[in-house]
Amino acid sequence: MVELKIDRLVLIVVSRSQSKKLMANLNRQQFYFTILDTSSSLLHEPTVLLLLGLNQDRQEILNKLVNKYCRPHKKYVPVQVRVSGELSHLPVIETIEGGVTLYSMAVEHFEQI
Amino acid sequence: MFFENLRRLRARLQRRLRRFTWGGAWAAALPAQNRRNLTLFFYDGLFAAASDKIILTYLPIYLLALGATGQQIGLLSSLSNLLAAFLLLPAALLVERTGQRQKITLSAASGSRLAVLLMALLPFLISPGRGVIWVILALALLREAFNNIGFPGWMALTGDLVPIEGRGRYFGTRNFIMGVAGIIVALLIGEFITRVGDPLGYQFALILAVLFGIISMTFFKRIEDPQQETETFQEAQSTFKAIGSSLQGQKQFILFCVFTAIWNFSINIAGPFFNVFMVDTLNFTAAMIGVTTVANTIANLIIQRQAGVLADRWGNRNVAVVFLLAIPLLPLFWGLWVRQYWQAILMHALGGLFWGAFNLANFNNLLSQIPEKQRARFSAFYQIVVTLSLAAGAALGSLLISHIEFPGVALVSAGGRWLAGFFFLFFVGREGQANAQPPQDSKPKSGPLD
Repeated sequence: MVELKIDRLVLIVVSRSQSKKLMANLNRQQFYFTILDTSSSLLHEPTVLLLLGLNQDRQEILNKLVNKYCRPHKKYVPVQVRVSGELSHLPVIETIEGGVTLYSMAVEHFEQI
Repeated sequence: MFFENLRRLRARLQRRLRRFTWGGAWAAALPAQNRRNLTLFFYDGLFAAASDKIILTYLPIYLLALGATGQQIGLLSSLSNLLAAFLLLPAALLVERTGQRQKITLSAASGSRLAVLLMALLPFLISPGRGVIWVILALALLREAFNNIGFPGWMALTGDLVPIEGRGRYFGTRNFIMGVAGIIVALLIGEFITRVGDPLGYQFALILAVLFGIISMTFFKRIEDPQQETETFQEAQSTFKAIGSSLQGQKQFILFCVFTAIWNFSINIAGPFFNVFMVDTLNFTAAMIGVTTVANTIANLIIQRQAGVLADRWGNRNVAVVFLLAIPLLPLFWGLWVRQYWQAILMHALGGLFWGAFNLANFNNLLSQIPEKQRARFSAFYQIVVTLSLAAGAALGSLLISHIEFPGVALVSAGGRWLAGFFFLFFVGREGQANAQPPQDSKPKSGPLD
C-alpha cells in the first residue's frame, strides 16, 4: 500500500476513448483518482476529468503514464455527408484527436477521514 | 426589467448558436475573423446540403418523369464519372496557377446552379420530347463538370478555414446539421412533389434547390480566404508521367488499385438503376423515395462515429473485409427480394450503415498503402482509377439493363462485388499494413480537449 503523503493535486482532462487505458494503468501503478466530471455529446467525443492526489515524488511516473496513453493522434473525418443511391462520396480531412490537458498544483492541506 | 431579461436571453441564445456553428467552445480562442469564417462556412454547408439533397434525390426521377430511359440514366452516370476523371487534375492546376480558389469555387457553383435552373425551366419553354431529354441530360452533365471544377479549390480552402485541432468537432457538428437539413428537405419536398404531380413538382423542387444553393453561395462569398499553401496545390503538380514512374515497385498499392477498379466497376453496374427500379417497376412516388433516402442518411450519420470505434478495436482492414463481404448482399436482396416499400426502406438503411462503415475503413486502408511523402500524387492516381472504373461499370450496366432488366443487373453487380471482396481478402493489405502510420506525435496549437 502506498503511503498517502499527498502534496499535489492533479487534474487530467482526457478523451473517453483514451481514458479507459489510462485509468487501468493508473490503477495498476496505484494512483488513486476520482472521476470528477464527464461531458457527453451526440456530436463530439466525450471527455473525462480525473482528479488525483499524489506525492510530488510520483509526479514523474504519472507524467510518463499520461504521455504514453494519451498522445494526440491523426485521424480522418468526413468533410461532408453526401449519400446518393448506393455510392457515397467521402471527401475526408485530417484532424487531431485525443491528447490530454493536465493541471498540477500544490496542496496546502490534505486530510482523509 | 422584463424587456431587459428578454434582451439578455436573446443575447445568450445568440452566443450559444454562434458557438454551435463553431462546433463548440474550442474555437473561442481563435481570432474573430477565423470564428466568423467558421460560422459562414457552417451556414454555407447547411444550405448547400438542402440544395444537394433535392438534386441528388429527385433529379434522376425528374429525368424519368420526362421520359428518360434507364439506359440514358446509366449513360449519364458513366459520362459524369468520365468527366470527373478528366477534370479533377486540370481543376487543381487551375487553382494552383491562379491562386483564386474561392473565386473558382464560386464560379463553378454558379455554373452548376445555372445548369439546374435551366433543367427546371426548359420544359416550361419547350414541349417535352426526346430532344428536350437529351438537352436536359447534357445540362446534368454540365452541372457535374462544374462541380468537379469547383471541388479542388473548395477542398483546399476547407483545409485552411478549420484548424486541425478542431476539425473533428467542427465537421462533426456541421455534418450532423447537414444530415438533418437533408432529411427534412427530402421528406418535405418528396411530399410536395407527390401532391403537385410530375413534372411540375420536380421543376419547383429544382428551383427551390437553386434558391438554397444561392443562399449557400452568399455565405461562402463572405468567407475571407486565409490563402495558405495546401496539400491540394502540391497534388496539382503531379503529372501523369511522374505518377507512372512513382508507381514502380509499389506492388501493394497497385494491387489495391486493381481491387478498387473491380469493386467500383461492379458497384456501378447497378448503381445508377436503383431509383429507376423504384420508380418504373415498384411504382414508388417521390415521397416514398424521399423516405428511403432519409433512412439511408440516418443510418449513415449513426455509423460514422461508431465506425471509428470499430476500426480502433478490429483494425481498418478487418472492418473493410467484413463490410466488403456484406455489401454485395445489398444488390442481391434488391434483385431477388425487394418488391415492397418497407423492404426498400430496410435495404436503404442497411446500405447507409454498411457504406458508412466501409468508406471510412477503406480510406484508412488506402492511406496505409501509400508512402506518406507521395500521398497527394498517389491519391490523384487512385481517384482516376475510381472514376474510370465507375464510368465503365455504368456503361456496362446501361448495355445490360435492356436485356436482363434490373434484377439481372443487380445479380451481376453482386457477383462482381464479391469477386472484388475476395481479391481484397487474399491479395491486398497484408504487407501494406507495414506502411501504416503509427499515432503521430504532433502537438496541436492549443489545448486538444478544451
